[in-house]
Order: sequence, then structure tokens, then C-alpha cells
Amino acid sequence: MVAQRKNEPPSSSPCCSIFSHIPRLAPERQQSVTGVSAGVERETFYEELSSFLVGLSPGPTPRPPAPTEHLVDSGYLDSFGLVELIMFLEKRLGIEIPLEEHDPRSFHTMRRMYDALVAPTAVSAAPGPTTQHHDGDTRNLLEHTEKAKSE
Amino acid sequence: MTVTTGAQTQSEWDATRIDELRQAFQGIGTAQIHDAARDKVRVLDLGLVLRSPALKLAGPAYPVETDDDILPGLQALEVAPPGSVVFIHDRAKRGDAIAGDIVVTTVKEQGLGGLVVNGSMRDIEFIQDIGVPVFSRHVTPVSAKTEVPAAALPCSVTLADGIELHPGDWLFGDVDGMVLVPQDVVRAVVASALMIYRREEEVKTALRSGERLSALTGLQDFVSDGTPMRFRP
Repeated sequence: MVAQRKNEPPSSSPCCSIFSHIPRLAPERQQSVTGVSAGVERETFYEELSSFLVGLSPGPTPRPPAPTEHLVDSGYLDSFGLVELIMFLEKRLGIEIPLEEHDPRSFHTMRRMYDALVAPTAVSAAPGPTTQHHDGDTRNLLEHTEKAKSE
Repeated sequence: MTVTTGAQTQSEWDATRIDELRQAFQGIGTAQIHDAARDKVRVLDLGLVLRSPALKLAGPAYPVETDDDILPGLQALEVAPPGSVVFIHDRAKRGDAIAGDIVVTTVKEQGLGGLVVNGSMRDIEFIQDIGVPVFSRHVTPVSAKTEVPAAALPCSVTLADGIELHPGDWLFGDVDGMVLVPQDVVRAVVASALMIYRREEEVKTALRSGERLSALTGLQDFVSDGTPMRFRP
């Protein structure tokens, strides 16, 4: 999954357009993000996302999920929470998640979300195929992606 | 008015956005759209019937109201942006036909996303083969009058059950029915619907390979102790 930049409509957009409230794709939408979400540290991402997920829970406030905890199995997320999650991620990271590259498994844990949505931007900004994660877990991104798909 | 934004115009932006979501919807259906966000997606239980079998309708609505008159629909066709779905709401309970073969041909040639007639239309034999997604509530051979213009173009309309349809809200329609998705959440809803669809496909694949549905869903646990059922391929 490759995150892409989400851009605001031009300031000269006609206010009367019936599409004026739809988040728009910019002309350069095919380009990868290199500077928007790349600045989000892993721990900061986990902290903000866990707070969001705890807030999604309709019942008593649960404990924050662990980074590798399966969010569906643990009851933090179901299909009805996906829309809220996607909107949260897109707003927080300033990206649009590509429709055709969605892999549901990428949303099963906070760690996978970071690896799928944030880490690739760090890779695109730095030379080489390997990225050093904040928690010291170094891995080849392609290997990770294949592993995630096979899990 | 067309606004130029670098190499791409405003209208091209709109077209890109609409085409992306419309293409995504072709692989799924209103069932997945509804499953994705039951609290945000409204089912339009209006008695609308798909008059163009095998076609799916998706696009931002361009609504117009009429009182059993053809004219407002013709006005809407003239100004509706490409890709939009013209939604003609007839206030008459069961009126005459306010659209037919000429209107649908116009919809196609002007690159609109489809037509929804919340009222009566005609020329169904022609319409079902033209390749444009069309819904209507009723069918009659009797043509309506052409006298009174639209009060506003486009306009928000109040449908059955008090549902408000605003210009730009997205309409998705197929043989299962029609749903309305507010424009500010439509992309997230479609993204979620795609994930739900892919998960369902994985379940079907598992079933075809011999897995039992009860094992894939945790049926026994749900019956015995209430553990939530989940589709887990």
C-alpha cells in the first residue's frame, strides 16, 4: 500500500460547485508522499491512534491496545468502525489511502498501519530499501508487505 | 466556469474523483456500501426499480423537483456536471412520464452518471439497452406536460421517511436497491466497502476449498456464549 498526498481544492474553486465539499485529488495525485506523513514518529502514531480506538468503543473505556494487538480480535474495531478509522488516518497523516490497494490486514494492528501508511514515506525519502523503525525493528519493507499478506 | 489549476482543470479534478469512485463501485455493490457504514448510509426505500439490467449507478446527485412536469428535468440535463446523477423528484403521487428515450439519450451523450426518476417514465424497451443506469418508480406510456420550469437548480429534496437528498450527495444503485452517502464521507465509505468485499471473497474462497461456514464465523461460540461472530478466512 502506498500512501498518496491529499490536497485541498484550489482557493479559486467555485463555491457553488456541487462537488465543493468532496475532498479532492490533486493533479499530482500519482506522486508518493515524501513529506506529509513522514514526520509522524512511530510512538506518537501509536499514542494518537490508540486514543482514537479507545474512543470508538461504545462500552466502558478499554485499556489502550498494544501495537501488535489484533484490533478486530480484541474488539477495538469492527467493519462499522473502518470508516471512522480511515477518516482518522487520512486526516491525521494528510494522505488519501488508495482505494484499489486496500488490504484489510493492513488495518489489523497499529503496527501494520504504521508500516503500511507511514513507513513507506520514510523509505521514499531515504535511500535504500531498508528502514530503521523507532522501536528498533529493522526490516525490509517488501518482505514485510509479503509477510503481512500471507498472514 | 472552468477553473485552471496547473496542468489540470477543476472539471478534470471532478471527473477524476467521480471516475475513481465509480470504477471502485463496479466491483462491489450497495450491500457492501451499506455494511461499511450503517450509521451514515441511508437506504432509499422509494420503490425505485432498475430499468437497465446489469448496470450499476454511482455518482454525485444533481436533484431537481417537479410537479408532474417534464420541464425541470430538461433544465437539469442542460446544466448538470458530467458524471453527476440527475435525480428528478416528482411531487405527484403517481404522475405521468417525466422522462423517456430522449431524456436518457441526452444523459448518455452528455456524459452524465445516470438518471433516477422518483416518479414515472416510459420507453423502457429502449432504455434497457442503451447502456445508461436508470431507475424509476413507475412506468406509464402517458407523457407529462411541459409547462412549469424548476424553482431551483439544483435543489435539496425531502424524500420518503424524511430523508434529505442534497446536491453532491452520492447515490449508489444496483439490483439490490439504492443508497445515499453524504459527500463528506463517501470516499472512506467506498474504501471500507472494498475491504469488506475482499474479506467476503476470501470467505467464499475458503468455503469453496472445503471450510465450513460455522468454523469461519465462530458460529458455535456465538450460540454457546455470545462471542461475536466474525468472518475470519
